[in-house]
Amino acid sequence: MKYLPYYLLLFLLLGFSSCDKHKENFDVPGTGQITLKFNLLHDLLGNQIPLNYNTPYQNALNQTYLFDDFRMYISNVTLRDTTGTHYYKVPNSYHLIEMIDNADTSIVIKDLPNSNFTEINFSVGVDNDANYSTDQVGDLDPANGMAWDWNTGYKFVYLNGLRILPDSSTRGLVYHIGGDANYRTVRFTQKDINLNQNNNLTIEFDVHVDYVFGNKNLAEQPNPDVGPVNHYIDLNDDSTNDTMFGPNTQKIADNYEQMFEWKEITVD
Amino acid sequence: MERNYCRLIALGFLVILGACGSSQEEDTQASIISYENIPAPKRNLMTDERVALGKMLFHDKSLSGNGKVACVDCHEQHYAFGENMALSTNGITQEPLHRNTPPLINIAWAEGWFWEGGAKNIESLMFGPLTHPNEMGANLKEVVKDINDHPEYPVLFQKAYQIKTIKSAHIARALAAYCRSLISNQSKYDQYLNGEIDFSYDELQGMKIVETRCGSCHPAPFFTDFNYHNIGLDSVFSDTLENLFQGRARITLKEEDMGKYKTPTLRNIFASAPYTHDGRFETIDEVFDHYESGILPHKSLAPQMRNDIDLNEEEREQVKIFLTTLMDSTYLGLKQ
Repeated sequence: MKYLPYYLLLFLLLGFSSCDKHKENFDVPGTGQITLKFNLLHDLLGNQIPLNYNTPYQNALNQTYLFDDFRMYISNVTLRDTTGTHYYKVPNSYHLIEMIDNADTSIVIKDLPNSNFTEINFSVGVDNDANYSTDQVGDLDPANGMAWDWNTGYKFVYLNGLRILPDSSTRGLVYHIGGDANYRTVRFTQKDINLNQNNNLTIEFDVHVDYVFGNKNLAEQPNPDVGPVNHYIDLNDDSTNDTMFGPNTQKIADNYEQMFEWKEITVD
Repeated sequence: MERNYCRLIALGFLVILGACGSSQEEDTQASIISYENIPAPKRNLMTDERVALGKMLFHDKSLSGNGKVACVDCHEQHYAFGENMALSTNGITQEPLHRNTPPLINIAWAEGWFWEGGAKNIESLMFGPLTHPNEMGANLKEVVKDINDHPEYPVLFQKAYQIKTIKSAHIARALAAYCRSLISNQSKYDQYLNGEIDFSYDELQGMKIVETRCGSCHPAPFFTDFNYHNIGLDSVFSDTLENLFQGRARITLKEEDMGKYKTPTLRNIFASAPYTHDGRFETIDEVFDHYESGILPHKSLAPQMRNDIDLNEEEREQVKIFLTTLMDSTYLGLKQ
C-alpha cells in the first residue's frame, strides 16, 4: 500500500509525457491496415435504416425535415494498446465523410504498427491546430466546401435540407457547426483490435444521424454529470449563432458525440 | 534579415535601459517596415519567385467564376490597393458588396484580417474574396484544374513551391506572399524618421496632435494598432446576414465586441477614401466631424470615444498636413 503514491505518480507522469507525442514506440514492424466504415443511418418510423436524402423525417418534437446534404469531419484517429499508455495517433488524420452523390463513408488507415489495441478513438471536427488556418491540402482543402471564408475555420458537421412546416410550406434547414467548443472525441473500448499480422481489419460503426437533433427513443438528459446527454433540438431555434457556433450548437455537439455505435470488426 | 533582428533586439535593450535618444528609436522604428522584416509563416516564407507568382495571380481574371474579375480590379495600386468607392460593384455580379474594400498596406504585420478580423492568416483570407459569390465567385475545384492545365503556372509553382500538383492552398500562399510584399515605407514621414529631411512647423504640429489625440489607436510606425474598436458609428447591430453588421462580435460572439472594426492605417489615407468599414464617410473632414459630434453611445464604445475629439480649424489643417506626409508615391506607383 505504501507504494501506491509512487505508482500514482508514475502513472501521471506517463500520462502527461505521452500527451504531446504523436507516436509511441512499438517494437514491431508496421504493416497493418484498418478500414473504418461509417454506416449513415436515420430513424424512419421507428426503424434505423440508411440515411436518405429528400426523405421527410421527424425529430423528437415532431418537427418534419429532410436532408439534401450531410458531411462531417472525422479526425485524429488514435489506437491505444492494452497498457493504455502506448498509443498510435494516425498522423495528419483529417477525413471528410460525405454523402453527396456517392457514399464516401470509409476511412482507410495504412501502415499501422502490428500490435494489440483495446481502444480506438477519433474526434468529430477539426482540432484547433488545423482549424486556425484553411491553408490546407487533402481532405481539409477548402475546395471541399467545408471551410468558412469570412471566419477562418471549418464546418465540423454540415447539415443542409428543408424544414417542412405544418402548413406544408418549407424553410431552409442549415446547420453548419464548427468552433472549438464543438470539437468532440468519442472512444470505443468494447472489442480487442488485434493487429498482430499483416492483415486488414474493417471496423464498422453505425452512425445514427438522427441523434444530432436528439435521440427520440431516450428521454432528454441535459446533465453530463448524470450520464450521456441527450438534447431535443427545437428546429425553430435557428438564429445564425445557433446554427454555427452558439449555445444550440453545443447541444447538437453533445448529441453527435452519442451518435456512433460500434457495430463489428471483421478480418479481411 | 539577421542584421535587422539584431537591431530590433538592440533597440529592446536600449529601451529597457532607458538610454536611447529619440532619434535612434525612431530610425529603428522606421526600419521595422522593411522587406527583410516581413513576417511570414514557415510554410510560406518570402521568396522572389513566390511574390512574382502571386502578382501574376493577383492580375489574373481567370481566377474568377466568369473570367472577368481579378483581385486587382478592387485593389488598385493608386487607391492604396483599395478602391475609390464606398461599396464596390466590381465583383462578378456587380451587386454592391457590404464592406468597403480594405486597402492592402503593410498587412503582413496585422494579427487578424478583414474588417472584423475573421481571417486568422493571410493565406486563409484569400479564399474569402476568391469564392464569395458577389466578389470573384470562383469554384475552387475548377480554378485548381485550370491552373494545373495552364501553359505557365505549373512550372512557376514548381519553382516557387517545389510541387508537382497545385492545390488551392498553393494558390492562396502565392497570393499571400504578394500581398505581404505590398509595403509602404517610403513616405515623407519615413524620410523624416530616417533623418533625411526636416518637417515644417505645421507638419510637426500635426504630428504632435496625431500622437496625442489619435495615437492610442493609430500609433507609429504603422499608424494602426491592428486592433478593433467601436468608434460610435451605430447603436443598433442587426443579426441578419450571418451577423455581418455586428463587427468583431460576429467572430468572438462577445457582446463587448459589438460594432468593433479594425483600426485602418493612416498611411496613404488620401488615396484610400472613402472611409470606415462601409465607406460611409467621403472625406477626412467627415471623419473629423464624426469624432467631434457624431459618436453614438453603446456599452462597447471605445473608451477613447467617450469624450468627443474636438479639433479647431487650425488643428484640423495641421493634422491634414501631417497626414500628407504619410502618402507614399512609390507604394502608390506614382513616382516618376
